[in-house]
Amino acid sequence: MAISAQKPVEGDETVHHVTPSKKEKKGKPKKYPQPPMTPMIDVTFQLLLFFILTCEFRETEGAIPGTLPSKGSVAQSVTDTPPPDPIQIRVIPSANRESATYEMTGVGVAIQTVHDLGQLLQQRREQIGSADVPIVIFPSQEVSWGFVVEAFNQAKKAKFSKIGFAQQA
Amino acid sequence: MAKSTVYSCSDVGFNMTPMIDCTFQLIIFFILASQVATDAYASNVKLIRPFESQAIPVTVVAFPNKVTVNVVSAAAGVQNPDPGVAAGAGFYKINTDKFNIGEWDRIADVIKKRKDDYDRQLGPAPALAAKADGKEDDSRMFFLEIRADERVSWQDVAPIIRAGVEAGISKMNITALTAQN
Repeated sequence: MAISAQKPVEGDETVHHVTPSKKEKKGKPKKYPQPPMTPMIDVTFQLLLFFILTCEFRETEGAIPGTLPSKGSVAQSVTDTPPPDPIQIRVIPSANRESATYEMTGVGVAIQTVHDLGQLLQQRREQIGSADVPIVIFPSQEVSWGFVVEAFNQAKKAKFSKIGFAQQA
Repeated sequence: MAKSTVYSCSDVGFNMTPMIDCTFQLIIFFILASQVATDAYASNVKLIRPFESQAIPVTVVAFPNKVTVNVVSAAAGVQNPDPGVAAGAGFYKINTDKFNIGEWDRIADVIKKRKDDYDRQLGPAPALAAKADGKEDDSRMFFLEIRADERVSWQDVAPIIRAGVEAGISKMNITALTAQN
């Protein structure tokens, strides 16, 4: 029997031939080939570094929709073509331009905050019962765009449908 | 006597697997969360977030048919600028085209050209497009988008609106930040 013949027998000095495959089975467990990971990790880290260094977090931008007057009416002042009882909002800057006050038709005092402006517009909208009354915003030449947008935004929030800008006469 | 274990150099190594896992997670996050910047939007415009903002996120409402005019402040990128300086417009930008203050005719020409190109692509009478319910079909309209720095004074923004009117554009969008959740 071949297997029993290869077992070491006390006193037997015979050297038997062992094939290379049999040598592997007897030694460490067989290693399977692995793809080289180093270049992949290198590239991955390059990408990660690129994204971390170049990323810039931005706040969500949106659009407040509006309409523009038809061509030809832009050169006319609002008093030439009066819409039915428009609500006029004047935007007046403070001396240092860092704040603004609002004046609204039918409100005797200057409105200090956009919150108050929004509430007054909402009340007016409920009194009138219609969204078709035009809102005309009269910004001063020096007033910041931000305060103009605030007025536009509040008119939009009060659900008025016809909101426009006018140049100061 | 306890036998101390001696490791050879070949036995010591970092376990790379968790690190690679985290790295891939980060890469997937950045790839999915990133947005490719469009040249229509100038990067250094300080937009306003109005009180209880009514701005509709642009990701929800897409306006492919528009011309965006960026109004960049003279103090863009400056830390704590003088309000008087910031109130002035530095330049205007439509896509990659820059315009200086006072170049109203050039700006109006560009806006008008964009509008005409759009009308030509769309076919006749796009402004008369209407939905079945009689309302105007906004998807066929051409928009003027005003993306102005909140600090710039009205006198530097008003000519853009006037140019839009002169070009026969009837719809306008004011870019602002959306309400914070």
